[in-house]
Amino acid sequence: MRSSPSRVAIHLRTTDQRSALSAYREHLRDLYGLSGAIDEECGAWLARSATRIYIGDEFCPHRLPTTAEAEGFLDLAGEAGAGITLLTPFLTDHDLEAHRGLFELLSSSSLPVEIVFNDLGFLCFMRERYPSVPLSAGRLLGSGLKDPRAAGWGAGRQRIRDGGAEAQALPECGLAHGPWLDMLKEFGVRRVERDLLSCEEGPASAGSGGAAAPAAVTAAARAAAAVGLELSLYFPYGYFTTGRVCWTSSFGRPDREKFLPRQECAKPCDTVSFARRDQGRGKGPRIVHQGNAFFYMYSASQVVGLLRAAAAGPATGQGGGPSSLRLVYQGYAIPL
Amino acid sequence: MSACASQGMKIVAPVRSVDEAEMLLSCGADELYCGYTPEEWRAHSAGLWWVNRRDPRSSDFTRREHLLETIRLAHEGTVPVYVTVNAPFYPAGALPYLVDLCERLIQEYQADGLIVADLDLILSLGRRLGSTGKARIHLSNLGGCYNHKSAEFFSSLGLERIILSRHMRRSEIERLVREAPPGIGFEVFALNDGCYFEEAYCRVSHSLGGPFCLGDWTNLEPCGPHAAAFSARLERERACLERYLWYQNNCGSSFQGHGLPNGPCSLCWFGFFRDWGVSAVKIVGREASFHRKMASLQLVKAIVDLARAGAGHEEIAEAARSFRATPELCDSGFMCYYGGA
Repeated sequence: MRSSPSRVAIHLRTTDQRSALSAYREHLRDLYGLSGAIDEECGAWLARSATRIYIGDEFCPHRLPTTAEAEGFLDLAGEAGAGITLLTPFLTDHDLEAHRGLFELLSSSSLPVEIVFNDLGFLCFMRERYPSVPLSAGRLLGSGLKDPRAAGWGAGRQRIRDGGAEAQALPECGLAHGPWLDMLKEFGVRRVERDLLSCEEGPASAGSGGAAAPAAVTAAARAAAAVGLELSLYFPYGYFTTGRVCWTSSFGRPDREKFLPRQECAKPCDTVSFARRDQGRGKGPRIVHQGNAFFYMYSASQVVGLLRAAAAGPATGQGGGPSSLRLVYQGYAIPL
Repeated sequence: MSACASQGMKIVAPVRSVDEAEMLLSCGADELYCGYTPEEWRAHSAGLWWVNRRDPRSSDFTRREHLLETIRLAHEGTVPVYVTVNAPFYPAGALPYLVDLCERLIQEYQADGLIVADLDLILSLGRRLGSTGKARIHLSNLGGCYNHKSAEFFSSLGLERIILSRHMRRSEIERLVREAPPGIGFEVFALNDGCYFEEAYCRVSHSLGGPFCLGDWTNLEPCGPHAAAFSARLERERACLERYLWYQNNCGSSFQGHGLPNGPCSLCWFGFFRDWGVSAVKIVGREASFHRKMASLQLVKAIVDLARAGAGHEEIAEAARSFRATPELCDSGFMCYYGGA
């Protein structure tokens, strides 16, 4: 069976990025230097405006919006007829307290608001305090192998592509199966968020003029649909590691204060990121650091495959409930 | 204060051989933890992935009889043995095997408990072993607990102890322990083996060429509107980061003049941990040498004994610095677990 139509969401850092809601296609094309492939197959789908704005951050509490900033995003979403999704990271007790105003504001909005949790304590907190707010399980909670070295170079990549023993034994995303998904349902969670794994690149399909839809998209959509959950897939970056120690925010600080969890931060990651020069040129996926988070950039064929799957609507398989695929574009969230 | 506070802080020590078990038990370890990777695991992992966070070739028991003898010796001294099954992810289809393995470890081998991270495994173990009342399950720091609501959640699943992240401020630990539900204990890192990233959310595998964080940091190119400003400071800041990583890697796996191990530690804060009700302090390094394990335990035991005797916070911190005898390393601030107030 085919699911309901796919939709696109855009992750914004500021309300000044409002043009992204309709211009993300050009942004994506510039990022990859893509030309015909996207337009020929997916142009009509990409021409749609985003129906949801992602705000906040999955990795750092200092990048959560203030209530004033959140009000600006709510205004923007209202004007655009879009919903709001707040991304949240793992949180200390101090963080839970410090951002209570933000949670209060969003939970009382008349707009379609949802919150992505990446902390099980925060899931419980939200269920107790704001039981009516739709929740989505964040991609940090997925436990699959995301090491960019897994598919990066050498014979291992080829063996994985060939479907050998390594491919069969690849760790799956923890949000793809198991009693954990059942537990999410018991908590009333409606959606799961995830990336394509760095090694999840479908083989080029002969005669189709481009990459095949990643098998992982279909598999993930099926797994989510089987328990009645919706699926969000992020692009063009997959995260692979993070931490509370942040090198970017350590620049210029006294040595003794550099490598500690921050109590406050000037957020230099808003205007700088780091790319590894030797990656993305035949040595595995391009690697980008932004603040305390590390990402691999999808290959062009992964992106085209993902867009193809979205344009077609993911097959969820027999027995699967209705599921719409939401693509979350993060090209504006990382300054490159 | 946690339920375990009145019993005092336990010293949790790593073991991977019978010889080490004898030494650790005679030197005062209160609990042992180990890894166990049986040969048949290869069939479930294509020989690529590990049962726990560490490489089985250098860190685990691989022979059942050695594990059994270690458990027997520990139980002679009423010391419990916990087995780590805390890989950050597992191969597709491995879960049923792991649940069977865990059941065998508890029911047949008489291990006292398990250290687990994967939520699917925790939930499955609860279904399989929960009713027996025999399996004590501790949440690995890879499980990710940073607030008291998480502690409540894991407590509701029947877990007895939570091992906290390496990267918490001391005030965060104090508050978490204070606000957590009664009956759940907390363990903190005492000594050795830092980690740059947050293990609970780090999705790289050390099996793919070692720790990613200890790799090459020289090929970085600042991007974005303020790239130029960062470029000007890049070399100095990169050198500082690499120095920090050297400290995290046990100061290049070095020892000080008296044979005590260099590397990350939280010894100075043991008085605070005691007063807050922290249940246990963990010595890291299952793959470490016999000598490093012994010296690590001696160092930690000396400070725990002071804490148990009621020494004050400053006295404990002074003793820790004195025993370490590496003021130049301590003063860097790069060697402290839980360095932020």
